[in-house]
Amino acid sequence: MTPDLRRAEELLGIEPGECDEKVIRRAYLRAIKKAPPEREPERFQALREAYEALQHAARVRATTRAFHAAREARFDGPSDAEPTDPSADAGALRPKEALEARNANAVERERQVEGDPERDVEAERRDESVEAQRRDENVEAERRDEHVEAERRDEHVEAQRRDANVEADALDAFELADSPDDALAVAEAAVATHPDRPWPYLLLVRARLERREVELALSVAREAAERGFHEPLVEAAWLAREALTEPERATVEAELDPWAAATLFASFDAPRAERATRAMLALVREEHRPLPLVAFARVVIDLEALGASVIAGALHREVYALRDVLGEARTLSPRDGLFARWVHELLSLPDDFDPSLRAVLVRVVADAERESELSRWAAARSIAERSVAQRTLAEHAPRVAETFGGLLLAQPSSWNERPPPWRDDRPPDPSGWKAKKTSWDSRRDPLELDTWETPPSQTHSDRHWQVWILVMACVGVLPRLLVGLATHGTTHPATVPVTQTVGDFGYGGRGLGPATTTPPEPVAPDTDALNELLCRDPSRPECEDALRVGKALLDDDCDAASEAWDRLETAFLDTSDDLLRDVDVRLVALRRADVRALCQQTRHRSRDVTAPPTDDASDAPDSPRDPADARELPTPSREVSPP
Amino acid sequence: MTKTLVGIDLGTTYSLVSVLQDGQPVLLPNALGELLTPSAVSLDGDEVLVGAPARARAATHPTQTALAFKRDMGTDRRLTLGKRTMTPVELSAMVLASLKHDAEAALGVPIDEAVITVPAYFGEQQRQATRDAGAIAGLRVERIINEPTAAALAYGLHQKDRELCAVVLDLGGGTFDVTVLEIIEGVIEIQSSAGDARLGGEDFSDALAAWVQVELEKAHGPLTETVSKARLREACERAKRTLTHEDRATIALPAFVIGGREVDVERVLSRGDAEKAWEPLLERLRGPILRALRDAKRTPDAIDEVLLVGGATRMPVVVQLAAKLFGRMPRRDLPTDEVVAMGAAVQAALKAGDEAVEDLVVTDVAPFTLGIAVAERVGVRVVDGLFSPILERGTVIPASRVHRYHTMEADQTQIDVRVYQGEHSLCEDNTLLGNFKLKGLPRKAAGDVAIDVRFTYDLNGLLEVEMRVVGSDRVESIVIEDRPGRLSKGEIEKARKAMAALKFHPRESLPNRTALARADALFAELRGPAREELGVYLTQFRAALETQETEVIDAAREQLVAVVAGLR
Repeated sequence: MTPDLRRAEELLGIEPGECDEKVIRRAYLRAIKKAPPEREPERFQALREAYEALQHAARVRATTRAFHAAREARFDGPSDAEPTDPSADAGALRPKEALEARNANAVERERQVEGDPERDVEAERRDESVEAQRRDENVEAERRDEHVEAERRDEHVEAQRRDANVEADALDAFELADSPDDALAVAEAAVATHPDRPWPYLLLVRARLERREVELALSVAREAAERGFHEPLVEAAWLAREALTEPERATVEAELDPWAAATLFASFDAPRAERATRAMLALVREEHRPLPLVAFARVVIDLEALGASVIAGALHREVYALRDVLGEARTLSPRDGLFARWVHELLSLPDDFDPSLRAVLVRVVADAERESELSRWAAARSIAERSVAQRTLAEHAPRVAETFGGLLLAQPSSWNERPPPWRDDRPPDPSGWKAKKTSWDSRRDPLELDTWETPPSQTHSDRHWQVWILVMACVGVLPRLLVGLATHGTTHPATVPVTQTVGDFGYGGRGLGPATTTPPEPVAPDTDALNELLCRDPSRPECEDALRVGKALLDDDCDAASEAWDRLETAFLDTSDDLLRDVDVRLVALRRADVRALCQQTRHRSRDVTAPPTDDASDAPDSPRDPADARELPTPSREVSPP
Repeated sequence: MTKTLVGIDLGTTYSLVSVLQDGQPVLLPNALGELLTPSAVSLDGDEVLVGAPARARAATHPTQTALAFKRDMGTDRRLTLGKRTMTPVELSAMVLASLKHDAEAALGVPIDEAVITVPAYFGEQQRQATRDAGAIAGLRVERIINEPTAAALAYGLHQKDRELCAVVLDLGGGTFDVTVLEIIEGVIEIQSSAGDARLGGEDFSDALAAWVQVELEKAHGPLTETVSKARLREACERAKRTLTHEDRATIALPAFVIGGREVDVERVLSRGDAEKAWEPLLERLRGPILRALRDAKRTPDAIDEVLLVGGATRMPVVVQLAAKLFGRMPRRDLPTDEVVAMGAAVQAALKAGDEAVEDLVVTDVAPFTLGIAVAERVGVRVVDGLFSPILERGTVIPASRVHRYHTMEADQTQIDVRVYQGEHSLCEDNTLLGNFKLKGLPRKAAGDVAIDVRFTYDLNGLLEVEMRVVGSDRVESIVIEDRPGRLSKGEIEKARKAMAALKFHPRESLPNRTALARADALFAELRGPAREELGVYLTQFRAALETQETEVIDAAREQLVAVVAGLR
């Protein structure tokens, strides 16, 4: 028993371990009469929370106890898990018995009457009355039978409703369980008490998967499949994968919709994945469903990793064929066109998006574009479409947009010699089950689970490097690369605005993606206030960093400014330091990009005013640090590692 | 107790004000001596009429009269009265101001605070609009309670020693609310509420009018005149009431302008006709009832009492529906028009700390779900704009609930917390309450930064949002007060001055004005000798008004009122 529950019990004044829900409820009601919400809202809230916690605990205990009872019953012999109502049956018997008894009496009386011929009239009268009585009793019995039938029907409905309630309660208990062990207990109890329903098996599979016991989950799923419930198998399939047998794979394929099936099978069963993808593409073709480009690319990557590159290629061509069939790429206003949508989607990817995945996407787009005849495409391109691409570029990489603007659909022939891209070295994401509380009603397909345990390998071929490099450059990777080399090798999305609409696909949890789409205005950090606070102790490194920021901004040295700011920001994350904690967090609530952007803005403005515009490409971020700087300011003594 | 708090039922068709005296709720009469004040505002040249005289002018001057503006509370709709346009908040403020004066006149003390009832289904914007209307009228409105809760209080005041589970069906002029409550161990526990904000007695009249209109148009041609439509509506309203206690009702419209001509319309409506016209409306009644029962986890047969509240529940069809659904005859012990106001008085007394209700304990529930916008990863796609509930509807308030969220990307240092109220799964279908950006999060891998968002909702409907970055001491909290559409203090002052600048008909002469308006409306309806007779009395009354002598005026008025009642 957790201490919270004990405290709750003390608050309500009930016996420890009390699990009768009615007793708990009465105690709560009596308690709140002394602390009504109107007069003592805080105490009332505490009482209510205690009450709800205890009710929940009581319910969990009840299900666990039911599990134990059922388990014991299993060992002791078959017994009724469901309490049946015996009174209904007995009630049906009683009138019949009584009727039979009365009939027997009537027959006896008849026999008696028959034996006495002198009392004929009386006997007849008695016969009639007996007949009448029998008829009445028949009617009575019929009416009672009907009533019993109606009761039985009501009970059936009640039982169904109770079933639904039981299911809902069990789901609640499962979702709200404090630990995977508790959840497992609830699930096992559910299976024990309702072995003939599908949902307990699903719960048990989930519980097992949560504890990473894939084999056990698979065995539970197989047990459920024997009873005809396939959903648990589907649920287990996402982690079980190769362990599934052929017929099981067929079942799962049948149960999932084509996209889910394709994504699942792509990593271990190429023919099935191909089948599923073709089915999906058929839907796109016939019903004009939208084609999720990135998901498709993921499938292709997996297939290639599996070695099924022939299949992957075939699927590529299918997708190009789609473009022709839908005929959208040839419209003059490609803003709505499939091809333009893909391009836009490609451009919207974040900078640190999986490069090999990006490569596949670029291949799709580039091939499609090539096959549509560049000249015709260029001719058909409207100004509106061009500005869409331009605007996207401008948002992500303003200076690059100026330099390369509109280059997206031009011939990439000049990009023949470029260094290869680097690998994405981020460690694989550990798990998708981490403390996830998905609501039962919105239970989606298991794509939520993180099944990508290893970063996919790169398999793009040489002839696409040029376009790939072009696109990477267009989203600001090149300047970033150089910046990254200059500043501790970390990648910072310096030119990407605060918001992303497409998140990182390595994590399977629920997240708060910032959803605004306009980049924030760069705001000058209040360096004066910072200096004042930090330089109370002038020996601190933070003080000199703050001073450096101010000076760098004045000198238009954006590089130094953002470095110093970065160090400051990292320092403020150390909440054990009293002084740093005192500094108002809002003072520091600025992205490093803002300092850089601010610096660049001010610098451009001053340049426009004072001097003719110089070539942007020669601006500070690309050039290595001027050694002269090192002489003016002491180098920071602390080595800053990326967070 | 030094403060006097009144309870106000601001209804779609009628409004009432009441106060708890000696432990009993007492309704306060208006200037006409009536307990029910119609929620109507009418413009007569430069003069503004509120209440009964305005209601009486609805048939004769429909374009200068505003009715049922409660339905537009919380929206930007402006209603035109003659040459002016007014917002529903301003119109409600006028009604509230007149109620305030009535209360002050009846009690002899100044009133500056009130508890106002709203339909349980009213969202945050509508509740806020009600508060603003009160502020413009010079009333401080701290507590807004749900109408069915108020009805439950009025009933429960005398049932404290029983233990029962009841359902309150409140079918008012414009809204329908269902509340399931339990009275146990002397505590009134509201367990759930549901409703339809656009279903009320008015809709039944509208349905009848539409039905009759179809027939009339088939016979005579298109109906385009506004005055004709208003007359038809008025007649159907009366017919609806007649059908409550009689089998048939007559719709008589002499000199009715339709299809470009003037015809004499006379149609007899039977109960069967009415039921046919009302079938879809009755279907709509079932939905909220079943939802409230489901939320409370009860079946219809577990209900001990069915209480009917609201004038429209007088209709036999509604009573039948309730009886069939619950398998028992519904109760209507207390006057259905007045129950809500009585409950509001009880709540006002509770808030003021009146000893008379010291031992009354009521627990209420959150009327709607509160949550924030999130994005979720589904496979390889990210779906944005989803609604993640934090405080579900039906949670006993005051309550505090917390939910944990994670960042979606690596190095994400800012999150956008958007607070919504509603029940839909997509945020765009819900109502935005507020917006906050939490900046300066530590840079970590995607999903490694956890934020706990805590919602605390109090009895006054004030929501406090607290955001805590897990693993640090960083806590930010805001109180959602600046809801979109909420009037600022300056705007309220401006509206108050604007209202003060309007020329209201003097209260003392309200009975005269009402009598005139009612007689005028009837005059428009009648023809022939009856009309002449009425005309005579009308002229006499007008002459009496000119004498400016109170006894003469009063006598003439009483005579006129009697004649009007007789000729109706």
